[in-house]
Amino acid sequence: MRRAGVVLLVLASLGISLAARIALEPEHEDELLMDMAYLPNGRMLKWISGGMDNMMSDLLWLRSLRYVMDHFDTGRDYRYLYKAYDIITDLDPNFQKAYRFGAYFLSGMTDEYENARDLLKKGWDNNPTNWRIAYDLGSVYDLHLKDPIKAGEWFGKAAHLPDCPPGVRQNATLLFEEKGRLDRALDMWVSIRETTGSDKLKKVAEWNVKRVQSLMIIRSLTAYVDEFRKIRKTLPGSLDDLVEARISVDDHVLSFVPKDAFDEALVYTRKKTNRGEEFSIECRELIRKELDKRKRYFSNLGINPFRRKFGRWPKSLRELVDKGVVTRLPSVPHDVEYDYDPETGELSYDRTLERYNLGQ
Amino acid sequence: MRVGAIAANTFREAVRNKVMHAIVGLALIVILCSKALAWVSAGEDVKVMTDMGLAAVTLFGVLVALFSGANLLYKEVDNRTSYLILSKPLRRYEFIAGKYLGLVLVLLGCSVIMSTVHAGYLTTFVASMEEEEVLRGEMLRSFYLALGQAYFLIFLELCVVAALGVFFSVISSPVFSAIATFCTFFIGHGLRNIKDLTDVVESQAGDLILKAMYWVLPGLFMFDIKHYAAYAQPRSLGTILGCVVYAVCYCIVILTLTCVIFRRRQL
Repeated sequence: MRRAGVVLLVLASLGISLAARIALEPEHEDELLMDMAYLPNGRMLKWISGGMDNMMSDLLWLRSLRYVMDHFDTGRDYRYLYKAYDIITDLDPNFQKAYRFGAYFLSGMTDEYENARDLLKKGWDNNPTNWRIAYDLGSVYDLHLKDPIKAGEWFGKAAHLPDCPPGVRQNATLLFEEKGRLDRALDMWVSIRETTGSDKLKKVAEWNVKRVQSLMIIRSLTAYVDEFRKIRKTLPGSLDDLVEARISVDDHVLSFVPKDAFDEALVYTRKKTNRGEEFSIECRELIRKELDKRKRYFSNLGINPFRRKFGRWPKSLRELVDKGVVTRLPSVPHDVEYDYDPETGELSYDRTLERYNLGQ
Repeated sequence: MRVGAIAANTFREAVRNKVMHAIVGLALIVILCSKALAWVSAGEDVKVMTDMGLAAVTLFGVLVALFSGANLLYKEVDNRTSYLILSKPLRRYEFIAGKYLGLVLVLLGCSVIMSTVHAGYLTTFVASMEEEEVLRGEMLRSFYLALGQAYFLIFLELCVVAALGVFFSVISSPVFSAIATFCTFFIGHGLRNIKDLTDVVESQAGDLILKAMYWVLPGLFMFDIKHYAAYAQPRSLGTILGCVVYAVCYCIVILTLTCVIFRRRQL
């Protein structure tokens, strides 16, 4: 009887303690938040860590991951996230993942883009040879702070560091080109050409250096044509007219029509549109590249699949649409006229090439 | 010879102590459990295991130094066994030197056990990782070199802490000795911040006190290269040799002071 009473008492105590534990559970959920709130300053923690600063930063890192995960489904109250990562990186200034994950969480989950930027900048100051931090900083500027020029600069910094894959440099050059910073894009391609150990990439970089240089020449000539139109109220008949008219841009008179960087004459075309007469100045090499690309597109996505499906070549390109192989014929630059041979399924742009005197 | 005999006896005594076994056992458990934390560290496994392991080797090593150092002379005096020993043709400084060397042997043994288990555990873990994940070739060599350096400097740091422990145990009770040694350990790691404070403090006296603290207290932060080990960045031979010279000289100064105080002490 007495033993049964003791067992009952123990069981009752156990049950009550469990109930109390369950009742107080929601309070513990806020505990993690409060933990983060009361984190002391990173420098102070470093001081009292007694040489265990790395271990402390690891423990805080694990705590921060739990903080992120726990609050992911419940209101996403991440107000102490920046503070946590600031302290972690105070304790261990080389903790690359803390900077990168921290910035990712801050920009992706809390929209604290400035804090994400500041954290990565701190990471860069402490790790100036880490291309990943520079790359992430570029991404924050590009995707969140909408500052492509700064983004390009950071991608550029990343690109100049050892171990940085070539793709990062190419991203940076494209970003600069998109924003009209051809000079920066040119710098980047020249740097890739000078520093890469790969022959293939060197060739690609060499070609792109010429491409960007050609684009710079075209941009400059475009300014002369615009100036000509402003003065004469009409477009020049050819680029030579710019020289004859002694058109001046920024106090500089064009004394001859330059060739492009591939050492070919530029293609100048005029076209009447709804908006009036328009012009374009283009590089022959780039036109050839574009035409080759379209030709491959037609063959790989239209003509070859048609033959596989129907066992013959299409009678015309129009038949690709009629038989549902492609939904529509893609637009083609320069009013290209397709020379299609239904006997062989071959496509060529010879007439267009002839018209622009592009050569093969 | 006489010093060797006392050192060997101190070592034997410490090895038989169950508390010592418990401390080393606890250290090994912490080292082996570091993998559990590594699993949830979002890809920072090696770093977490390295940091935890090195911190465990340091902390538990300091505990061994505190526990043994604080009791080292007190027990001998309290049990009056020191009367028996010092009545022999043995100088007091030889007694102190023997006791200290015995303690250093204990610390060496503990450090070797903890470091070997930690390094072996890390090696097994690194070997089981995917090829592209981390640490191969030159990087792996740098990592092990930096790790070896870190273990060595932790041992040197423990020797300095042990010397301080012996010093405090001569002038006070074991509890005060342990507290004073532990505080000196923390201050020794934070000395760099004390130096920074000298730029902020305006009073000349304050500045002088801080500067004196900076140069007199043990610069234990010098031995702390755990951070570099975690990032596979070995230190130069000059740095390591500098630490060795500093540790040896500092221990000689502290032990000489200990001997002077012990010689004047009425037993």
